[in-house]
Amino acid sequence: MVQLSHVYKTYRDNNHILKNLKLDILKSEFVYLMGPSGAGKTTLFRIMTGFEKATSGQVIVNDFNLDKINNKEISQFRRTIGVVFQDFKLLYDRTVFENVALPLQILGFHQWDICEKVEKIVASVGLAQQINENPIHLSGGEKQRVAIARALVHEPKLIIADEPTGNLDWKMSEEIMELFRTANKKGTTVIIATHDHNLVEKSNQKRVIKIDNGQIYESGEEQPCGQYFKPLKEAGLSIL
Amino acid sequence: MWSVFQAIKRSWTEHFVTQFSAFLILFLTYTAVLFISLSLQNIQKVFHQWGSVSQMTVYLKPQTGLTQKKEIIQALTGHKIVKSVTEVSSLESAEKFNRRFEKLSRKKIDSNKMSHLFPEYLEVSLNEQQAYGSAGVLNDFSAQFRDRFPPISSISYGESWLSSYSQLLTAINITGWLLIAIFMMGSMIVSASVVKSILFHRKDEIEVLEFIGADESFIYRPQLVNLISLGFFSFAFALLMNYSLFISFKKLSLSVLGFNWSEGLLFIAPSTVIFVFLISLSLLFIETLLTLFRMMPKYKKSFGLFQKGSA
Repeated sequence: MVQLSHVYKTYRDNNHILKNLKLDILKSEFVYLMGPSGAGKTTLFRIMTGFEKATSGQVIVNDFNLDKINNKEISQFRRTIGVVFQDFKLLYDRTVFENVALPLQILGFHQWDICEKVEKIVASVGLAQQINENPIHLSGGEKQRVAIARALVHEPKLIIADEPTGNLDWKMSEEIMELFRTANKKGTTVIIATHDHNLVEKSNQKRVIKIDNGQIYESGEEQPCGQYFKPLKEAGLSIL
Repeated sequence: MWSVFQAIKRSWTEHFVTQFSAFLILFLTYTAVLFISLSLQNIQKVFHQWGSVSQMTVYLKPQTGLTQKKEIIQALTGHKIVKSVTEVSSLESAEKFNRRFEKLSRKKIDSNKMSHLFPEYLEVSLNEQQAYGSAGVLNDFSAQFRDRFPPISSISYGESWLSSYSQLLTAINITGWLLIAIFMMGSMIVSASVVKSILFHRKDEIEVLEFIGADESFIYRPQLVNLISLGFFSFAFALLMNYSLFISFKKLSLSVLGFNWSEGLLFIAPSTVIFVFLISLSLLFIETLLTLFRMMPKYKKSFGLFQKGSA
């Protein structure tokens, strides 16, 4: 699902954000990408979502080779994933329905199918009553649920979230995580970048990847995730 | 298409002032363009309303035979710029001379005795629109007839006046088309400004759309459709406005002057309307696309997309 090999990201001032990254994430895995601020997890998130290109190395996500991808293919690639941001990135001149409908409109779905799918997904995140409201009137947790609904509505194989609970309290965070877990149970691969240890500890089925100083240390307790159980190989490098 | 319609509706709701201003400016621009086209089409007719009957005089050599005269008259009558031909004999020519100068002198010449001093000639009434289109038409026409018919001694048609008239018409035409070009450029600047302004306001939306996989055509389409509809409707209203002005002017000329002075005036030819319409919309389309292509990479850069190895 996600394959990174020898990935470097260097900025102009020779600041190496990512150094020789190697990572394999399999289908249906639930992966936490952890690390302190400035460790490079947002950069990695941006590289995996095709918002930024690696300086060198190979990045393959959903069978798209992101280091060789062109402008046209990048849009096609982004349609195959669902992305959730810390700041929600919702459009506040549209209703919840219109926000969630966007990926389907981009994919060219018929209006009737859009209505059906959006209503279903909005109900599943518990916002059926607010479907015609402007997200500006919603709480932080509700806004994030709208963002998750938007990320899930086109049934992507992979969801990548960057600090999805960063702006939320503990209770809201739990509710949001539950939505991700539900999606994962249905077979969607979920990658969540976070620095919240509590959130990770509460989670049962997980794989934790720690990123620090631009390098990856895979660690923590691992639980089988269907047939795609990945054995712990690099234990001892860092225990979360 | 539904999403495009929604995007346009949203754009009008959120940026009503920008959209309406753009509509108004485009409407005024196209009104001016169509008014100039209308004026250019009718300017010659207006001049002819003020001028006298246009004619040309074909002088014949003495002893021009009847058959030769007939041949010349036939050739003249058959030409597209000739309305009618009147034959004036030497005798009639002398009588005309007497009539013209009767106030200046009591004595008259004896037409019968002196007629041999006056040339026989043909008065050629011209089809003004075709004859005065350019100075070259009459020059060619007279040269052609002089060469073809040796009995013609000379052809007179007010060459210097014609040259000035044709220069005036050319100057008016060039000025008109220059003004049209300037107005068209203006419409392009307006469209570019509208696109820039709306794109600037859509910056956040474009960022989100890019993030969730919208390709450029999905982002551009509402802008293009919006500008083209703005152009279409402003052109339609401008056409309507010009037609109303034209009809009102014709009615006014009848009621104020008491006769239909503007009877010969015509509204802009459909072919001209279609030509100006297509040019206007094409320019809008091209300028909108160019602006989008110019602006989008800047926005993408500001979102931090595709900056390989750079901050």
